[in-house]
Amino acid sequence: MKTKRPYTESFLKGLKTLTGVSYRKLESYAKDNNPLNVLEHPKALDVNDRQLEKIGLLKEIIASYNLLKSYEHEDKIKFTSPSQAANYFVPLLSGVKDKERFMVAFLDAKNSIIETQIMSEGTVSQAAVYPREILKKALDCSCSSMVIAHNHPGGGIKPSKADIEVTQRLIDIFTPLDIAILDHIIVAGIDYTSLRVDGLIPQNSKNRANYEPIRLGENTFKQNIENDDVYEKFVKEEGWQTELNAKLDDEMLANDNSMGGQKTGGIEEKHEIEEIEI
Amino acid sequence: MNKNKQYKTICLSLMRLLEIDKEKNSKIADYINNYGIVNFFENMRLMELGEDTQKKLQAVKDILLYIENVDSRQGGGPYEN
Repeated sequence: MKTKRPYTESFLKGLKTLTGVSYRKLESYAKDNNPLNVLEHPKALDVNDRQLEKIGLLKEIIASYNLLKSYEHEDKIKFTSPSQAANYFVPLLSGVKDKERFMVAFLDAKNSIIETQIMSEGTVSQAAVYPREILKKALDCSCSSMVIAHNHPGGGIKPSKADIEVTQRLIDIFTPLDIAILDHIIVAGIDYTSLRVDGLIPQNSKNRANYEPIRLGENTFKQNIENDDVYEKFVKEEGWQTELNAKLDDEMLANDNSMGGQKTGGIEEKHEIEEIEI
Repeated sequence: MNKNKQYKTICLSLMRLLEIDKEKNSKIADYINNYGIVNFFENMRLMELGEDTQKKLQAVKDILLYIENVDSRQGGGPYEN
């Protein structure tokens, strides 16, 4: 029988953690026997009733997992709308009350999640976002697009100027690489806002790619968006809403804001794709 | 196979094995029902479940990984006619 030592150790430690059977007993048994026999013939280890019950539960979980795995094989999580993306991120961010957490879901060409990563965590009022780290992950997993998300521990749901600026900064970096930023979800408690639904996702790069860390926070800048009047004034001044709504697909808006992308969006300023020093 | 029934079964088994409270179990069950068991184990570290629960879930994951990666039935040549 072939075994891989690191896996075996983790397996035995896992058994110890879950069942309470001593590691020494397990290790000693595994020297001359198939470790999997612990699950099939636990009485060989002289376990007590409680440990036996735990092993039984573990076997049930393994059996169910293997069965479900084969049925789930094709069930990758796919984002087809902002609400789906939000429903994915809300459970992951709503419970985080003591810090800002910035996450990215890296998606394939069909908008299925390749992987999701916590890219940074900060204090209760702010976090730093490191574009180089996001770039590394994006290139590693060969993603086609991404959805970014973070939480507002303070509970305010309106995007701050910093939230919008970080989105623009990432678009500046990723659009030339043909990687779309589909949405930026902000979670506050169990509520959320989608910058795409709000018409605040820039369609084009605006500036040269800037890889410096970005400070992100509800109250990072004085010009925080506190109420609807200030919010609309800010949006109008920046020219975001008019430009973006004009470019949004009418059909997309009509069909419950199904996810669009930036792949067909042009780049206003042509950037040479510089060699990126990582 | 009734997938929902299997989800219910695995959630119940996890609750009993990990000895977790109803609130945590409900969180886990919601996630599994929405995103599946494979995605749950891939993303479980992203859920705020407490250190102890995370440790036990990691133990389950390590066991599942071992079973996936260690095949005790290797060997034997191709069928010959």
